[in-house]
Amino acid sequence: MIFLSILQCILYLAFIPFCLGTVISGQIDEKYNTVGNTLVFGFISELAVFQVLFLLFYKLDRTLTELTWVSSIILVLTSSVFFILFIVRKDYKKIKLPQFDLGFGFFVLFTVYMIVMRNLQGVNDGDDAFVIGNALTTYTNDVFYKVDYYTGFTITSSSFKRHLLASNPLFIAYLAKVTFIHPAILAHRVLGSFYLLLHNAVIYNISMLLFDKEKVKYRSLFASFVSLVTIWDFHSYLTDSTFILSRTWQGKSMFCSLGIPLAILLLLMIGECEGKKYSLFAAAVVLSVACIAMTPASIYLLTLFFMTGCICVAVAVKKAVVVIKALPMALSMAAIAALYMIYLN
Amino acid sequence: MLESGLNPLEIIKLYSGNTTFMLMFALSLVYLWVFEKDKVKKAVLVILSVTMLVLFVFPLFSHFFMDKMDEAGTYYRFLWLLPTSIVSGYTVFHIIDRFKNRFVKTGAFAVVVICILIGGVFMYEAPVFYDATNAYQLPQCVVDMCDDMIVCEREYEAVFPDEILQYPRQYTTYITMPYGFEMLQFGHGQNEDIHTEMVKDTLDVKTLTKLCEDRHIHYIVINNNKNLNGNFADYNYEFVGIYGDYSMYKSTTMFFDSWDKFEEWKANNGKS
Repeated sequence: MIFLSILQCILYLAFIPFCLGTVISGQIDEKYNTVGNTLVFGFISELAVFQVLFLLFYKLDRTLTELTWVSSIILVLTSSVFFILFIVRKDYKKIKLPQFDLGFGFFVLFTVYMIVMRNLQGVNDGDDAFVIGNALTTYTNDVFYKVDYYTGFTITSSSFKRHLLASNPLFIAYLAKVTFIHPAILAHRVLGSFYLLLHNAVIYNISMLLFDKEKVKYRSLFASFVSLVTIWDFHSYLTDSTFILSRTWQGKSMFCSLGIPLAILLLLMIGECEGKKYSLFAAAVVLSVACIAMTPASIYLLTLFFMTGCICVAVAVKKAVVVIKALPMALSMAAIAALYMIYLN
Repeated sequence: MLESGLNPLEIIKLYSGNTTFMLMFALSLVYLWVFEKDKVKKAVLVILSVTMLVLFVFPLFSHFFMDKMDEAGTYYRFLWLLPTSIVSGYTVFHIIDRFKNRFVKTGAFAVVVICILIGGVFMYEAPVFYDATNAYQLPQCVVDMCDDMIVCEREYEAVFPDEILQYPRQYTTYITMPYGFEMLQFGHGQNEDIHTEMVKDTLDVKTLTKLCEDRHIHYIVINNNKNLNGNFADYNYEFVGIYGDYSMYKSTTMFFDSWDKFEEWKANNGKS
């Protein structure tokens, strides 16, 4: 059973994300077609697909089992097709690996340290009563928001509607169902470690955009430096670093560790190509849907951040079209906001 | 969540603690504003950050989110949009790159790292972390008591003290609760009368057990630091054991076996 769980983890957290990611990373600049970008954009796509399917299945009043089957079939088939294309087109030759040097060694050590600590230390946080409790309740009862995750009785309060469209707890339930791992173990250990890995991959990819030409030597050191600052940033319970390292599997923390850094990465890429690549704006739409799965707060946080960023970039490159191309992302967020208003009313 | 009534500057102060990293971030913004030549990097790292910061403290903006959208407790999340570590890191290497001598570069980097170690606060010493003793990363006492509660594969209702209210249903859904974590999160929920009794410094055992028996609660878990006004054994709840800082009591009148034996149990105990 453990062997099967490991295989399923590899399928859902490595193979599927990687294959889905080849589509996006293959469309962006060749020099940023890295393993990290492929895996991160692929995972974001996987989460976005799940988010859309969850909304549909919730509306149709279907079960987690049905959602699991449909999601799995769609994701496995799609990723298999992309994998075949990846092999046939010999795209693997285009994938860039990180530059291995002493600095990169430090960066790997920091990443490993974060992951080890994630596995050795528990976190006393009340929000897990919702995240893990909801995941376990859904996993056991096979229905969405019918059973109160806090008490185990029929849900009577409408407070759950505030988090209804953020499917992260249900994503944990879904992964628990396909990997046969208890949601608490899956979230605290497996997903916690996985998200830290992805976060550090995004930071390294940002370093690739910040340091090019003769400054390449600073990439790994920069990434190590950011890790060091993150580990030494317990200035309060509120900092993004505290969320990233303590409640890694929770949606808010995923937004800090993946959502915001990916938005910065996309803005830097959009600026570099002067907004010519449509795929970057498409990736922003995918990111916005995935961020909704993480936290409802991303509706205004990510939209404000990304749209303001696009305006800043548009001014910098003197191309107003950047803002126009970014509008679909804002519109997708507006559509989700409208859905919220419908559910909350 | 933060208490409401704080203004944005107070939130920044609370957020940044000893302000070392926020100061480093502010200085980095000033430096990059002056010395960064790449317009895109300047736009994304500096202009965007400054815009976010200005919006955060702008009275109309903060009033809209804190009061109109009722997000006062979570308004600090806007500070997540400031890429403090990325901007600071980029500035550090931007400055280091200006030095020609390799030893000076290394020395400057070492000084910055020492400043981080001295001015920063090590994450894994935060009180929020504790050494995990099981694969679930849940308190071992909760895992043990839940295991002992589940006699058969069916649901049992149990009441827990506030300190561990969030854990049982992360471990198993076989344990149901008269009130859950919503009582702490929202300040209200179902069966508030039981919660009111449970949070008293001195537990009125007679009242508590009466409420629990009426609600058909199989188990009562109490914190050992509580004073007891009465004996659980006198009111149909027997002592099961001590689990860390907590004691567990079990009903002596309720049915605990699997449901297929319920009719037999009813007949033997003269229940209608």
